Amino acid sequence: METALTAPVTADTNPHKTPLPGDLAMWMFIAAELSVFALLFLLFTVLRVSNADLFAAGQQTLHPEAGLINTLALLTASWFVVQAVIHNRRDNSKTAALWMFAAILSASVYVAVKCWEYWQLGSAGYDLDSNAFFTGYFLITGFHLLHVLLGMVILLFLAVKLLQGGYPAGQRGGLESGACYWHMVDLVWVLLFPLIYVIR
Amino acid sequence: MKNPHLIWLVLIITTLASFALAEDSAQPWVIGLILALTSFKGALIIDSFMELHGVHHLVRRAMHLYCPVLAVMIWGILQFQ
Repeated sequence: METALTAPVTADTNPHKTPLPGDLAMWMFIAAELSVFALLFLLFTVLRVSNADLFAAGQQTLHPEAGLINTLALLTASWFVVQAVIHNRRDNSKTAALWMFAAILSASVYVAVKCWEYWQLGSAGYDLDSNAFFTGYFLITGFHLLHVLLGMVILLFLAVKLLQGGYPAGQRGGLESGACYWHMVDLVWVLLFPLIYVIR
Repeated sequence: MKNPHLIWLVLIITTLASFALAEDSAQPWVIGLILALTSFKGALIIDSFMELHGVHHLVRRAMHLYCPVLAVMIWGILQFQ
């Protein structure tokens, strides 16, 4: 009886209250990251309005299909991460690890396509200093790419720990935090894709 | 988490729909539609993938405001173009 009274209230013991997945510290970090990206998006939009012709010409040099492939790759990676979290909850950590490796593979498609895009633009003579459009483009997409790379390192860490059965019931906060970080990276790209590639 | 496969499929279809609108995306209503679809995708990711559905916390409210508020601001700024 005493044990029941002193046990911490979690989703397992209190079905009426859904707890925040992951750690609150990770959510604070996500909020900070999203704020920085929001400012970059708004700055890019303001620059676009004041340099309409320049931005229209800059967009013509991009490959929208590459942006589309990257969107599909990141959404699929997020879906794989979700599968990993679900399988771990079913105490099937080995299968969860495989889903996590699949997510890393899908994220690698994004990295490869993004590097190809940079190589194409670099070969055509465009860089960070070319004009306002390319400054914004390289700054935003490069900053996002760094987040993807960090996310891949986190997913690799989670996958290895899953292989070792490192997230048993009651100790899944780290896995959920890492998963939420990855979904944040996906969320940012979902906003970035139409802003840079789709809206003309 | 409710049917992540279906959520993934909806996200993919919505992305393809946004991409298909690219040809006519200079018109204000098309830009508005693309940004609305983007907000919808954001809400799906937040509620389903991030598992914030049913969570009574300030974090969920803030996350749900992020995409629509940003989309409205971007749409508003683009109207000065």
